[in-house]
Amino acid sequence: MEREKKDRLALVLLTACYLKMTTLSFAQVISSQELIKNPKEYAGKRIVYQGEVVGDIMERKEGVWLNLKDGDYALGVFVVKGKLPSIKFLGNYKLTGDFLKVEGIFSAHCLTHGGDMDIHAEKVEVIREGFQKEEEMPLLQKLWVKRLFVSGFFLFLGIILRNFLERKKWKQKLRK
Amino acid sequence: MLIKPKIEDIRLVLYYIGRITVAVGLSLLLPFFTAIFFQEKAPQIDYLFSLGIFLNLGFFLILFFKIEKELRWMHAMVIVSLTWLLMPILGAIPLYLSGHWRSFLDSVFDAMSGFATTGLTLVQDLDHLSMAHQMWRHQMMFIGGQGVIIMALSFLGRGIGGILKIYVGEAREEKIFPNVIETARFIWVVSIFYLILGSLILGGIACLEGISLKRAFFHGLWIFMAAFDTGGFAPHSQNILYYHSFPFELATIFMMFLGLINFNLHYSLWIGKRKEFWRDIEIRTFFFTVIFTFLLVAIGLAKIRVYPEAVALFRKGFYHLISGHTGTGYMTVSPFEFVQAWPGLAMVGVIIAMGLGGAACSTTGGIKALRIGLVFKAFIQDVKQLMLPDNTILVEKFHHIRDLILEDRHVRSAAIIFLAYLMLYVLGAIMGMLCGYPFLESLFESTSAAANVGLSCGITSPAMPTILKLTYIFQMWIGRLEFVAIFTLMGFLIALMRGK
Repeated sequence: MEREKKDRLALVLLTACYLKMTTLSFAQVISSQELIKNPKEYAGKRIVYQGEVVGDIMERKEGVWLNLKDGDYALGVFVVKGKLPSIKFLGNYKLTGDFLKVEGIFSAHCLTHGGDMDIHAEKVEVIREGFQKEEEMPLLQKLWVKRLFVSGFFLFLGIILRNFLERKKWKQKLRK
Repeated sequence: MLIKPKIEDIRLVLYYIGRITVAVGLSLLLPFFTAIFFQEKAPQIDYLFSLGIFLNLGFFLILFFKIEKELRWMHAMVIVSLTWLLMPILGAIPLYLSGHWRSFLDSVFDAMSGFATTGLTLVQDLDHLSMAHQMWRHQMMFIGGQGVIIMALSFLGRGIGGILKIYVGEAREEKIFPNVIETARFIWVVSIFYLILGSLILGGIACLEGISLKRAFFHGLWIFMAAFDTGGFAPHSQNILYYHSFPFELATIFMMFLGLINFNLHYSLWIGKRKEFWRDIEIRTFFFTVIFTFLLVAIGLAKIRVYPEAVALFRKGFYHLISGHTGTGYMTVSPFEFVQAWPGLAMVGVIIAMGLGGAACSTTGGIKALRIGLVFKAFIQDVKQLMLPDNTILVEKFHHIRDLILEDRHVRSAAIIFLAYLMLYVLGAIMGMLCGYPFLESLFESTSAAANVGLSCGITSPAMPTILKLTYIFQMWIGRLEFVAIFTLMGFLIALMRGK
């Protein structure tokens, strides 16, 4: 009887722990697609999100804004001053930005930031440094550029020549 | 009986298209120099290659199809509609070469969206797109907003007869000056003046909000181009949400509002006639429709407390309403939020706002405030007339540039276009539903495409069916040109096949 009671209590405690874990935090990484498509499920909860820093790091009075991209979507992350690690690369045409892991509270409509969907980061770490990308040169286009400009030049000459001849004809007509 | 167009008619059309192609092609030098400035080597070649294609085609048409012939209304309309089909196809070449679009059709979609100042996009990985391609995307909006042909005529207009007809064909019925070239140049002077001012304001805010000076300048320039021309492209995938900045959002609201104003009204304000602003039927109608549609949005959002704070309601509800009403399409929420969080009533409010649009002779799309105002006034006039004795004739007036008497011809032409737009919105919605999307979402996206707005509730994506991509391209094209030029082209093609 005593043992049964203990078992039941353990089961209740385990269930409560599980429920607390699933409603207040998500230990595994959640993608931006999941967050954007199911915001209600994660609103107000602690989540782990990771992505590449793209564009700019925007410093404001109260903290720093960055945008982290994973796959097709990007999410705004707000970091309180002093909590942002050193970021070397910001993603753009020439660079792949640093890859960050962020732990923080997700808001579907953040009240401190005018209803924006964002993450207020509590912990940020660089998990992979970015790098300079190599530009692929379009060799076929390069070859065709010369040909196109040569043919364009001759067509332009043709127009000038035709206009010149037309004007000459017109002047001759006027003289007659 | 249909009269078959002659060879000379076709030659004349092709000759004009050639001249316009050269002018638009030369504008590719701007993204080319941007590529040089940012030392982006591959885009330099992309733009030289595209410039080569533009110039070759343009010179070819000028050289082999030149003809001295009077330009008739039919020619003008066919030139306009074909030009607006050809430019997005040619303009899509550098986009496609960048590798950021899944197919050539996707890049044509974006080029049409750019020229027609819509803002719907199928680009992939926008955050890593080169600065040169960003410049071209936003530049297409700036050219398209003022008018592709207006641009070509402003710079290459010497010696072109019948320009007025082409000008009208590009959905601009009103002239500011008696001379169309002067009107076109005034439109460019106003636009470039605001471009400098707006870029400095937006760039300044971006800089104060933490973006480096060089990048802030370009962001300011691009966002202004797309806001004033009510386009809606932005350099990052999150659109305006990228900036997380209330001042930046307020500035874009102001720029979008500038874009919706009739260029005639801009002229009146320039010469100091400030009272004109409040007297004009378009501005009055616009304020009335903004209040009405915002009520729908605000009640809808407040009812289920989507944004519990007034500031958030303003930044999300009002922002998207103005963005939709001006035909811009700037967003500070993800496209899916409209469907997930916004109630039907709020979505309907935005759909109505998108469908109504801004002022005539501006850079906006949609039915336009002037037409709404005229139809509404005619309705009031009819009701009033019923209340009066039978032998009384009621005269209704309205103010648009000058005092005018409301006549049947005004109402008729306004009502026809009004109806045509409604049909276009419904047609796109039906296509969306045929592709398996729900009614409200299909109507939202269809109205956004046809009224050249650019707000999306998530349907527009590279994965959407090809038939829907084609439908939206068609809607953007026909919506930008306001039907007449497109119908004339159809008539021209039918006459070519069946005429005698």
